[in-house]
Amino acid sequence: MAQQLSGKRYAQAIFDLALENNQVEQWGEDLAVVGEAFEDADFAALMKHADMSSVAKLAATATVLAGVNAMVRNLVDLLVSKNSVDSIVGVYTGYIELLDNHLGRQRVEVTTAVPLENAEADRINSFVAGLVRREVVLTTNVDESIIGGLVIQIGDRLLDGSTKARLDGLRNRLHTEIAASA
Amino acid sequence: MATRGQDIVSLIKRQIEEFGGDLTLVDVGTVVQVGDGVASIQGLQGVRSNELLDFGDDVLGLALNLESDIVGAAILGDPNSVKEGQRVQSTGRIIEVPVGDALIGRVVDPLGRPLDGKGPVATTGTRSVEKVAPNVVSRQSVDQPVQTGIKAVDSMIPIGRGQRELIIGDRSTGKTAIALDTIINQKGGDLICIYVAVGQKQGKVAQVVGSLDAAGAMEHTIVVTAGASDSAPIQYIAPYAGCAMAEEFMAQGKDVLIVYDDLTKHAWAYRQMSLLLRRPAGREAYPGDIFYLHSRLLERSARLDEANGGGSITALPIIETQAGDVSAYIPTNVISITDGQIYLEPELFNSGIRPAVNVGLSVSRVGGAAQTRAIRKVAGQLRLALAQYRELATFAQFGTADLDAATRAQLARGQLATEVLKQAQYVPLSLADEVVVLFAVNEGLMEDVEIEKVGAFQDQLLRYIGGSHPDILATITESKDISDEVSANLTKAINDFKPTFTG
Repeated sequence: MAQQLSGKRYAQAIFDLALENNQVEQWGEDLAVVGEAFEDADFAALMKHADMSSVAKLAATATVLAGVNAMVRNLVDLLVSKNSVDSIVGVYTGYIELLDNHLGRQRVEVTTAVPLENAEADRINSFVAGLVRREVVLTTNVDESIIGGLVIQIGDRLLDGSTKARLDGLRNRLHTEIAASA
Repeated sequence: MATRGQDIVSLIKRQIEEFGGDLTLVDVGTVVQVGDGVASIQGLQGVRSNELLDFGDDVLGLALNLESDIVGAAILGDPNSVKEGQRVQSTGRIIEVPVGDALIGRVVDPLGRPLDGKGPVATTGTRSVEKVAPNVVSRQSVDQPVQTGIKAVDSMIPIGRGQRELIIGDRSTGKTAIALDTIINQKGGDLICIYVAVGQKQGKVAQVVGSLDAAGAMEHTIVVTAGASDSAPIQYIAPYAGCAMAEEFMAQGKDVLIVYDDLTKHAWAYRQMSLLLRRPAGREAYPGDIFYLHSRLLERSARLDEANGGGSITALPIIETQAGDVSAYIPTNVISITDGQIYLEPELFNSGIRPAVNVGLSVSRVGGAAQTRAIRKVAGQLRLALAQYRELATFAQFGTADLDAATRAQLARGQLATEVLKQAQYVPLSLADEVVVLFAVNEGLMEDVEIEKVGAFQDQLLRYIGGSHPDILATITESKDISDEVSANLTKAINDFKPTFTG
């Protein structure tokens, strides 16, 4: 938990720097590369390993993150040398959140039982855009266990229109109403 | 059965027709950390304090700490079923319990779920567990008695409807017994009783329910139990849940008696929760709001004025002390909140004086206002006699031969009073019976009875009056007073009985 929180602080710092340099989107792409590298458990474990000298660690990041902006690499090197490797992924997610806010974008996750067709995705996109009044970045998931309908997650809010949720609701209501009439 | 089947069919039909219904946006979050029955949740932007959270699989949570990024929640239910990374939904419901007449006679947990195996509780309404106490304007002073049926309490420490009277003492000094006798004595009366067991052994709760059932007292009683094996948050909400159930009846203009057994364990449960939620610890590691924990609970006991229905909640909180230390943190807190206390002493209990009430330390701040006139007339000298006796008794241990007659008389009176106030458990006396016994003492009609035979004398006297002079008892019950005529008749009846007393 502490790691995630400190990740947010670092994200805010690097985002402010990116704003000053007018490179918020490019740095975001660079951080995506960083995030991908450190989501690899083996690489993260290596970077945390006590037997590896910090010089060797920094050499490793320099190779892996060769194409990345110097400032972003500085941040990674700082976190690695401070033994805060765990918060790097948090920095990436925090940065994405700040970037979305900055650009007026809203990430939305849609889950359906069967894969969505493009036309349907577009309809959902415009529906949600009308709801949140922002540009919508849609990610789609397929989960058969929801049976039918769709689940839309907008940030911390959830619109559950799945058949599974409706059946659960029906079961609960029948339980309570039958209990009340008994 | 056929009609019930039909009902259910029509109910299902309606549900199918309305299937789906409206969709609403709900707040969701993710569990980032869980342990010891407390979860940290990321997300849940719009959640309110004390809102119920849904962890799925019938596990509920209670949002307690609202911070900028993290919500600290207590898990109500099996804490092992919640995993890191799990999704949590807010329900939009501030914590509430089912209330209503259907609860009477039932044993339920603090969320209103039945524990007695008698099937679902058919309640129709719910009430918020946390509620602000009635304000000054809607209250009236306490002036009607709660008849406990215990001579020592009714005569010297009267309890009124709407009062908060603390029962305090060491372990096994008869604290629960006083509360139970009071509940049993309400049989056939208009008081609805609620017994809230917090952190008690399940065996003891079963025993309590068994005794209430055997005495026919479950017919007017609700038992709310959060046992020692239940999670701390469940124990924490138990008294508030019981109080919410009581408030429903009070709002209907009825009188309710609620027993919190006991608030020491309630404080422990809250301390555990607070420490796990990382709230700063204060004295004895209790959090800073430990006083408010009990004061806001006990302030909800009140007697409403006629404009608000005239209902009342009388609270009998119980506190267990360690080695008689009433000046410990929690006991002093609760003593200062309540309108008096009944102090039970192990020394008295072990020397056979039961109920083991220490008359000197016990007090009711409502006092005589909540006593019937009949009791007030006969109980006047009792407290004084006992107080003087306790002082002299230590002194008189070395023999009474050298003492003057007045002192010896005082000792005899004190001994008699002590003996008369002894009472077995589960046999609360009616108002009229209490009056008869106390009258006999007060008028000096029992001074010639040998101390060892006082108990037998009482029993036989009550049986005699009940058999031969039921009219006297009826008059006392009805008028709740002792007129000159009743006084004369009673004196005559007791004098008639005395020669027939066989000892």
